[in-house]
Amino acid sequence: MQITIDDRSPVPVFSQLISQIREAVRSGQLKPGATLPAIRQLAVELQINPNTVAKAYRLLERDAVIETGPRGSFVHLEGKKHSRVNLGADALSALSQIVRSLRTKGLTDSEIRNAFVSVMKE
Amino acid sequence: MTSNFQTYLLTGVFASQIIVISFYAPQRWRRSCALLLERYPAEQYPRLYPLPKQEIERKLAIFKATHLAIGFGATAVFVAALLFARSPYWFAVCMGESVVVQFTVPLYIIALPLWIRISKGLRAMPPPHRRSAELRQWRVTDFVSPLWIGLGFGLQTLGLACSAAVYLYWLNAHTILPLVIATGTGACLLGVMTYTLLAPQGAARPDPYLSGADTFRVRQRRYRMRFGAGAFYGIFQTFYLLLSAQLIRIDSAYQYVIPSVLLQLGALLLVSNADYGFATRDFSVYRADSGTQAAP
Repeated sequence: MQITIDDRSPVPVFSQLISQIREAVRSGQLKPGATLPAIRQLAVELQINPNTVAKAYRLLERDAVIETGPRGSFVHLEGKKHSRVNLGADALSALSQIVRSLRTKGLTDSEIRNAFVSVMKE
Repeated sequence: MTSNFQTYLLTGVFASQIIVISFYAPQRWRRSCALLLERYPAEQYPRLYPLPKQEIERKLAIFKATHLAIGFGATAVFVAALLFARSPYWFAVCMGESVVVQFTVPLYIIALPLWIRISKGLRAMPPPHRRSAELRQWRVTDFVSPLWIGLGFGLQTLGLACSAAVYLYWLNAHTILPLVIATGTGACLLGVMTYTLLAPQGAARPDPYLSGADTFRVRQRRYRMRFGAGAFYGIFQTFYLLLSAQLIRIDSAYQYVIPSVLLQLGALLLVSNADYGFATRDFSVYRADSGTQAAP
């Protein structure tokens, strides 16, 4: 299974990695328990910063699509199921609903933005 | 020198050494380079040449002149040795010293610096904007067969065991220096092989544009060379130490034949590898309009 990145794409490289690994798990190209390349190996092969690969792996691990242990990173046993869950998209959807309801109540965009910044600072 | 089998053998090896190392192999290598420049011009394949074409051509001209000068010098030594050597041993000594000059001078003074500059230049080039990689954990056994790995470790261990035996039972003033050199080199090779076997396979790409299949082949060759060198050096170490401890005896004149034959084979292997790579390598990735790169 190949993974491709494009520097000219507006999508950040770590997002490109995440979406392709997620898609590979969802489609069954990567089976549960399959070994993923080491961070350094993938970074060398794709000629990108190892921190970028580490960030992608960390976020996939957070979503339980992959798991990392002392012997490397593997596809999570429930990875196929978890790969359907996209926390980023869920957050976007939830925030859209809130913003829509606040606008209905008459709040301006700058008030909503200030409120959001205040909440994020907490 | 008297005419016998030893004299004929030494004369034949010395003559072939001059022809192969100083004339035939460099000529074939230069021909490969010329063909490369002709078939894949720098204007259409700019990514293939990290150094200016003129600089490469100048280095190749110096390389040719050096080889020819050393080749004619070696021929003069050959004729002089044939006429004036007091014994086959002295003839063999001339051959041994000649092979060192013939092989190492052009290699270390011209070829190696040029190769380092080209490698550095290739690595400094910006990678293609679209890049692919295989989403799998590479292991050394993907590149080299377990038999090859076993041979490397087995024969190198044999060499080190021989070192231990010589140290324990035949240590004297004649064996101490060969023992230190052979054991040190053998231990280094064993370390390299162990690291190759255990470390994650994240070796740097030879150049950012090399196609996936070629990257795989380069790595395969690199790993095979490491284990092959371990196996070969294990045999050599065993032989060398047994010879130093005088457990096996060979006429000293013949001792100069072995390195000469090995270096001739090495030179032929180098040029055949260059030709093989030329025939199989995917050069389309170096075109100016090529923006993609396949997975290794």
